Amino acid sequence: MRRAELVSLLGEGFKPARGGLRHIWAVFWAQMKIFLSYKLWVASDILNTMISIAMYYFMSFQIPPEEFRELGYGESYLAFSLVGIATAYYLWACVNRLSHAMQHEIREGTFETVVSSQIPLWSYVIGQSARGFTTGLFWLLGSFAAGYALGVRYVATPATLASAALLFVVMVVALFSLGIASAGVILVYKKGDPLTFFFTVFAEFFSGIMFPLKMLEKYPLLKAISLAIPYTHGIDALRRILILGETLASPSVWRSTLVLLGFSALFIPLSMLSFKWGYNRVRQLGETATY
Amino acid sequence: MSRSSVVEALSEEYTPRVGVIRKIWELALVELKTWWTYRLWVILDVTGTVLHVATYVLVSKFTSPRAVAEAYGRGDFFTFAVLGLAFQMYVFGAIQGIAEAIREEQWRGTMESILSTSTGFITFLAGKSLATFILATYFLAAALATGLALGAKLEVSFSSAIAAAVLSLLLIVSHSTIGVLSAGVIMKFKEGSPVVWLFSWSTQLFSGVLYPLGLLPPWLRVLSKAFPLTYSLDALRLTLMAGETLASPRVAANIRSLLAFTAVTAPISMEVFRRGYNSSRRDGSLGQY
Amino acid sequence: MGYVIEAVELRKYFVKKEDGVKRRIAALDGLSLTVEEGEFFGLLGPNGAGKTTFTKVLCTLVIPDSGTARVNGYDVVREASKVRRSIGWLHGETGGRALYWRLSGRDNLRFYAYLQNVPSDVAEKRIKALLEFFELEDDADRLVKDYSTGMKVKLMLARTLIHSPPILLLDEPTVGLDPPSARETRLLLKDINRELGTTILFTSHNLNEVEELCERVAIIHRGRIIAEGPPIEISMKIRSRMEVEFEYKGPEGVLDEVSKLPSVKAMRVLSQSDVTRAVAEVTSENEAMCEIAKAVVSAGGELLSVKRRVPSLEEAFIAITEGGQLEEG
Repeated sequence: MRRAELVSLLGEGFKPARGGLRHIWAVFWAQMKIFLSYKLWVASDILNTMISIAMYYFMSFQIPPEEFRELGYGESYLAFSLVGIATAYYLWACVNRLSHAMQHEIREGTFETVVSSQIPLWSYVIGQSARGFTTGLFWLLGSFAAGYALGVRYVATPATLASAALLFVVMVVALFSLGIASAGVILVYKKGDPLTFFFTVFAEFFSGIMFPLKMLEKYPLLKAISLAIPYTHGIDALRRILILGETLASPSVWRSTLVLLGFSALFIPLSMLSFKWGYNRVRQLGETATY
Repeated sequence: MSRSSVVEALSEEYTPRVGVIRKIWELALVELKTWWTYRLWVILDVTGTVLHVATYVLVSKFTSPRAVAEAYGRGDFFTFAVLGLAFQMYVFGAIQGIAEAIREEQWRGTMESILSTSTGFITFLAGKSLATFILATYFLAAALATGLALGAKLEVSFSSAIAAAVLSLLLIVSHSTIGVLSAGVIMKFKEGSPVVWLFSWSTQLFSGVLYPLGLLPPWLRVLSKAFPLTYSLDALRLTLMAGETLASPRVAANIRSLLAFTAVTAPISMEVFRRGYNSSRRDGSLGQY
Repeated sequence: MGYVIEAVELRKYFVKKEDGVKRRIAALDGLSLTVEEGEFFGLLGPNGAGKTTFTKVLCTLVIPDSGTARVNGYDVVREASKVRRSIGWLHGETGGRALYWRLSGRDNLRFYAYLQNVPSDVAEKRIKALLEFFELEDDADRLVKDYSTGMKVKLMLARTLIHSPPILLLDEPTVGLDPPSARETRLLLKDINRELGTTILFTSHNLNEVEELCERVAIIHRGRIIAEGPPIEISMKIRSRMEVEFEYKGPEGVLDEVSKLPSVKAMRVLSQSDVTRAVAEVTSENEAMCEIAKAVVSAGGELLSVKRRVPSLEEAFIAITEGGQLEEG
């Protein structure tokens, strides 16, 4: 291509395309391609899922069904823990991926080039998260499929499935706000942050992924902490729906959903503030990249 | 400093005399210093370990101790789980540490500069591994301390303590080979963590971290023999739960298996690492992330 | 013509911890600068002089501590998104890091075309043209991680140009390019500037490059502008001494004759074989040129050339930074 041709081509005017969804799509598309280029990762992710489910399967042999039934979530410990693990890991993977991707981009210098372009930072974060939520979904469905293969039978009627799906969306929204807040912190500190920690270890214990909440009854402080975590409500409601066959119409599920919505209403503005703080702070420090 | 005095300083002759041990220690020291800058993470890691162990106090309340009693004579699921988790987290922490350290060095380009000095890659690796095994001790300590605080009961006598110490050492040696192996894979493919994660999960599944191996179907029990943690955990539980010593035939059998495992895997992982290292030198990607 | 880049008293301090002591380092220390619409402006300075911080302030990545900057009439702090719509920014010093290594070259360009609101049909045409121009079309669908540094730099350039912004902020754009590609790139930038009226702010520590391209140059040192003007004027300003260079064939006594001239202050010989080439430091250029010509001929020499010697920007640059401490590079 000759220089003159290129210059005249670049000189041709055009009407700028609208940003908005197009920006989000671009980030999502690029991130998805990048994700899939890590074939080893994708493969090991799938394997890990299968292995961890198998582990809980063997673990459940030690838990007598008749005793477990008294704790209020049916007889099968595997069915019980699978809902908890699959959901928690799904949410964890999403937030973790967001945090990971952002750290990576800051290190690579691509974050700077994105931020200095016309995309609003919001669209960038939403696009990044959308990728995490989508890839995580395969993980989630894979877990349930593996559980099915190991003999877990959930109550799958149109009403329970619809309730579960709806509840899930509400959970994702509540979580998304926390993810945004943590993105703000990552911007400044570059490393993964305490919020990511919160999603993993802290929530794993307190939201009762491995044991029924009844076990915390004797410890009021622990119980209070556990109720302050949005996960707890979401996972409990999901278990009620999938194991006990309740639907959104049942009061306990309905209450959990409301609590989750309340969390979102509280966290979304907070997380926006945190993100804004992080973004401005990092520009003040002049550290949008750390080579 | 003026130009001439720099030249003068550089022109002083010396005989090169930095021993390998010293180099390994220096390499480890760099790692330890880097680690210390991430203090917050240590706190978080320890908190995580505490909570993880605490989970199993609660789980143990609705878990039947029968299978554990059959295997180790004492029906105490929580102690069983604490030992499993503590050592599993320890080796995983160490192996992941090696993998991360290598990736980090590759990323920063510091590996290129170290390997271009007169320090060989085996020394380099030894230093890295040493550091990560020292560092990962806090996982072990936190898990055991939490376990004891929450009611786990260890059977500690002088001879069982010695046995446990010997077994821990063997645990480190046999697992370093896996760390080295994953380091070689990272060098070659630039993405090693999946391998590490896969190893970690498989270990949890096959080595009986949370359940006695008697619960596995026979064909999976065969697979479990491929993981050094299986032998380590079995022997450690025998000594710390049942009070057995190095003299006990079951413990001795486990030790023999661990030694055999190390003897077989050490040359293999060295070779894998060497190939990974050479291949990344060949395609010039040593400094790539 | 209005100013499209206008910086007034920009200050930016970074806190660095050294041996446990926090030190405040001035990256921009009251920098003021204006660039007119359509100008090809060179910003010259050693590493660490504040070039990168300055361009990052202009592209809204760094918020200044005080002072104001306007790009295309928009304030870089308060109207950041409008500023971003007006610019294309390139940070060449990253050596090709600032690309998505796990995407192909073509996908990288597509991605940025999306972000810069270029409609897809326009984008595809431009991507094709840019890849062709930078000779990347054969590797366009390979992942960038397998590119050489030069190829990555070319891709970064292509990415910066894809939306043909009215203002280009190019921070060391040719670092990592081989000389022919660097030359071709400079010619392209010159054409873009001339024919599309694009304002270009070009930072470099390569003096010849700036001399070749820029209509106006500023020298930045320790966060402030210490000289500004056309490349020639700048170098003249810095080096107040005037020089005349002359070449002749002839007897040895010629140089003695020349050095006795009242307008000649000092002399040095550049080369001496069949032809002698020498430089005289003079008090007045025109007068000295006449006197030197006469002296050479009257001493029996054959004069081949006599001309005013303009100090190169390189010399200017060294002269200006020699006084202060020259940061590394």
